[in-house]
Amino acid sequence: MRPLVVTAIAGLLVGFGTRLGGGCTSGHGVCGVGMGAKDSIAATLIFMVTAMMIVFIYNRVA
Amino acid sequence: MKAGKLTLFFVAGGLFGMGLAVSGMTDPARVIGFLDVFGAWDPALLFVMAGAVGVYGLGMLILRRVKNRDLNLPSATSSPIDRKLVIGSGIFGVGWGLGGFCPGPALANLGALRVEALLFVPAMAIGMFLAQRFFGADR
Repeated sequence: MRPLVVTAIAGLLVGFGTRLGGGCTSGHGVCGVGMGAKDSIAATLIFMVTAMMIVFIYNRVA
Repeated sequence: MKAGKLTLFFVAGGLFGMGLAVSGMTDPARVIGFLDVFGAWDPALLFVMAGAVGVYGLGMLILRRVKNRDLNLPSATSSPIDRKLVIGSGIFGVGWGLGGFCPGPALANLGALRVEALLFVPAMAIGMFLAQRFFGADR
C-alpha cells in the first residue's frame, strides 16, 4: 500500500477537506446525492475528479 | 437520548460498516482501483455507491410520507455551492486519492485495527479540528 507518511498526510487532508466542504463520500456522495441536493452533487463531482487526477499523477510520479 | 434510539444508531453503524466490508470498500487498494480511471479501472465503487444512493433515496421518499416529528429527517434544501464547498471538496479529493481512505472506511478499518487506519484516523481528527478552528467550518 501507500507509504505511511503519505497515509498520514492523506488523513490530514481528508479531515480538513471534509470538514470545510461539509461532507464526504457518505454525507455528500450517498445521502446528499440520494436526496438530489445540488451542492452535494457538485461536491461529489469535485472530490471524485480531484481524487482521480491525484491517482493518475501519483501512479506516474511515485 | 432514549435507549431505543441509541440502539438504532448502533445497528445503523454496524450495518454501514458491514456493508463497506462486504462490498470490499474498506480496502484502500480497491478504492484506488476505482479512482485509477486511466489504468486498471475497477468499477466496483460506482455500483456500491449507486446501490447506496438508490436505497437512501427510496428510504427518504418513504420516510417523508410518515408523519412523525420524532423522525427528525435531514433537510431536503441544499446549501449554496460556495467557496468552502468547492475548496473543501477539492482538498478532500486530494487526500482521498493519496490514501485511498475516506472517513467511513477509515473508521471501519480502525475497528479492524489496521495499521494505516491507526495513523489515518488521528490525522483526520487533527485536520477536522484545524478546519473547525480556523474556518469555523460548519456549512
